[in-house]
Amino acid sequence: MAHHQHAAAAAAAPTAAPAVHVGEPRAGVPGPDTVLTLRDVCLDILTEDDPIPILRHLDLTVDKGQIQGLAGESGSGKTMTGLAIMGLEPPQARVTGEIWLGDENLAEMRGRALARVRGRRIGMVFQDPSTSLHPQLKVGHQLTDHARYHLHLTKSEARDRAVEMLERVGVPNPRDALDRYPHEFSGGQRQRIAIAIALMCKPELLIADEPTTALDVTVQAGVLHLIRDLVDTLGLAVLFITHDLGVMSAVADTVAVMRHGRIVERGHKRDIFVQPRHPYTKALLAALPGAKGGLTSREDLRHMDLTADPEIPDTVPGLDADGVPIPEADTEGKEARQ
Amino acid sequence: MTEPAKATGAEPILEVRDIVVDYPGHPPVRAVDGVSFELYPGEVVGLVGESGCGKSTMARVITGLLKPTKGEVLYRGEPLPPLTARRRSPKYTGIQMVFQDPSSSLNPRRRVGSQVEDGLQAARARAAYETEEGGVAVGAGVKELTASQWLQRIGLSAQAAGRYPQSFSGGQRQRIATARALAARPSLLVGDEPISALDASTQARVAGLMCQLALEQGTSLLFISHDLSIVRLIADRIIVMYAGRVVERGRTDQVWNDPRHPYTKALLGAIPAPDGSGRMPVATPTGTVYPRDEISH
Ligand SMILES: Nc1ncnc2c1ncn2[C@@H]1O[C@H](COP(=O)(O)OP(=O)(O)OP(=O)(O)O)[C@@H](O)[C@H]1O
Ligand SMILES: Nc1ncnc2c1ncn2[C@@H]1O[C@H](COP(=O)(O)OP(=O)(O)OP(=O)(O)O)[C@@H](O)[C@H]1O
Ligand SMILES: [Mg+2]
Ligand SMILES: [Mg+2]
Repeated sequence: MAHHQHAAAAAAAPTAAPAVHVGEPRAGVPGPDTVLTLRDVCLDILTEDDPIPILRHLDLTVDKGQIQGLAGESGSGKTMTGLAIMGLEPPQARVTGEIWLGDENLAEMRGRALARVRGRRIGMVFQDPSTSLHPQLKVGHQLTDHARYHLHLTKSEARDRAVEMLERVGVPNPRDALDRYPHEFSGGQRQRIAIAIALMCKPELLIADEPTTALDVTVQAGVLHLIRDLVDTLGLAVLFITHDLGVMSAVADTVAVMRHGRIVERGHKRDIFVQPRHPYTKALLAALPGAKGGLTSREDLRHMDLTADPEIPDTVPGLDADGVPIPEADTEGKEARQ
Repeated sequence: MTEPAKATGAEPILEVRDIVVDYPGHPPVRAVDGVSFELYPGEVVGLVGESGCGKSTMARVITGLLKPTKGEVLYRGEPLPPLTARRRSPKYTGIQMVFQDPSSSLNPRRRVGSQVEDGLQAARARAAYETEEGGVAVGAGVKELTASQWLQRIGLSAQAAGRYPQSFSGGQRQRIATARALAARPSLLVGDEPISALDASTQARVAGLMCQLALEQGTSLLFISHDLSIVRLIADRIIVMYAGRVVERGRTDQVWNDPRHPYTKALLGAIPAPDGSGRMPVATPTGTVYPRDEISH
């Protein structure tokens, strides 16, 4: 794991702001129900040459009972954000800033202490299914292992809970599934098993990185209902990463849009979809199939100019590199950040 | 593709007949239960269906990676030999696949540029083979692109070629796998959820690229996806699978505008609308079982 460096080693818990409604979009200012606070988080990949900036000054909060959506371009840093929270960023990465889970600053923790918090309080669904599931271990073992330890369950209690979770995410024949290996399942079934694993230990925070990409829409609907239900009844806090704006529109309370390692726009879901302010958010919505001015037919696909330079760099050029600051259009009307 | 290929009297490039696949187990799992269809040159067919209904299994059968329990696969009118040797005869490199899990199909120890280069090599070897056989090489007359140019086409920078797969995001890896497959100038491309990890604008770009390729060099595309809104744009025909069977098939506009099978209806009804309204898509009640008989158009 990488060594976190800190601009200021603040020991105190983040200062509480005046009461704000649950789910109010606030940039890194925690309220009384805030579960997760990112404050000025940066991530660079260290190389022999200059460090490559991947995440730039991220501020984000997720409250109890809130689904915070994270959308944005492929390669914009959504997965890295999730990994940085978990302390699972690649070894060449350097993370700075504060990452508060309740009153513990995860950015200052490492090793066993972080692993313990992670296992007990955060559930994560990884975008890459092979990260969530160990290929050589039976599904039942992967579901029950941590739960027995964290929830103090007997073997049979843990198996019962595992069956219940598999049932809830819609894995067919859940009891048989426990004795099978990951490769015996389809892509979407594996993804549902990963969701069940993430929810097994009753986490306070769920980080779900593209959790429904392999699901057909009918199964996806079931999973979205399940997550919404846990949020509404148990107060689960969710950081929901998805490129699928339909899914985002269905589940998220608030949405942050990322591009080039920055949050370029954030706000209530309704505002983001109905009155997007940032040019990138507008472009993203316009690219939806069927959107006005977007792709509506086969002809549009055929005549798309693909030889033109892609405007999508695969690394984050950052502010300094290309000299084009991307203003943050904040629907709260906060000033654009430089 | 101005004319439906079928109407022009062309021979299908691919025919699958009565495919059955059982996976070993106690009891064995019947993943595919009697699937037949054909694909014509230059045609784009969308294969959609429930998670776990056998789409990836069909993809593996079509590409020769998995021998079906019953049934046969004909590629250009001849039975497809199982893919056992490490290297494929150039004759069959015209079949390319983009796997559902891109991370496992890219070699972590090789730079992505050289992996795309493999695709270019395959195209050259096949062109030579086909010229020798007296045929017209696929992609003949089409300008050859370098590995870097392919990477640029899918929206990565030219410098990406020098990096290893792990240093890319999920969607970037998916696009690299697509670039490698396209570089091989396939006559038949099987894409298993090839754009599932991409944001809307990147999705449009990759779909556009595949579509143009089909047009430019007559590539047939079997496009497996759960995202009907993009399948609707790219596909000439749609095949809907449910529980190992084809339950509905037809021209894209027929299936989209007039779905007949209850599963297809559920599938169209559960697409969440990106309108910010917060409406949850309708979830199918647990335990719902649909009929497995095909309803024709
Ligand atoms: N070792 C590395 N060297 C250079 N760039 C890297 C490295 N590792 C990651 N990156 C870059 O970091 C950026 C962020 O990646 P991340 O996986 O967070 O993207 P993402 O928003 O999750 O994209 P996607 O939607 O495609 O999954 C990408 O542009 C990626 O190319
Ligand atoms: N190696 C295997 N051993 C046993 N069963 C398997 C194996 N591979 C797949 N299956 C089963 O076969 C069925 C079809 O799997 P397949 O991967 O083809 O589905 P799919 O349509 O691609 O689904 P998804 O959309 O979720 O990827 C599933 O029920 C799965 O559990
Ligand atoms: Mg990602
Ligand atoms: Mg599959």
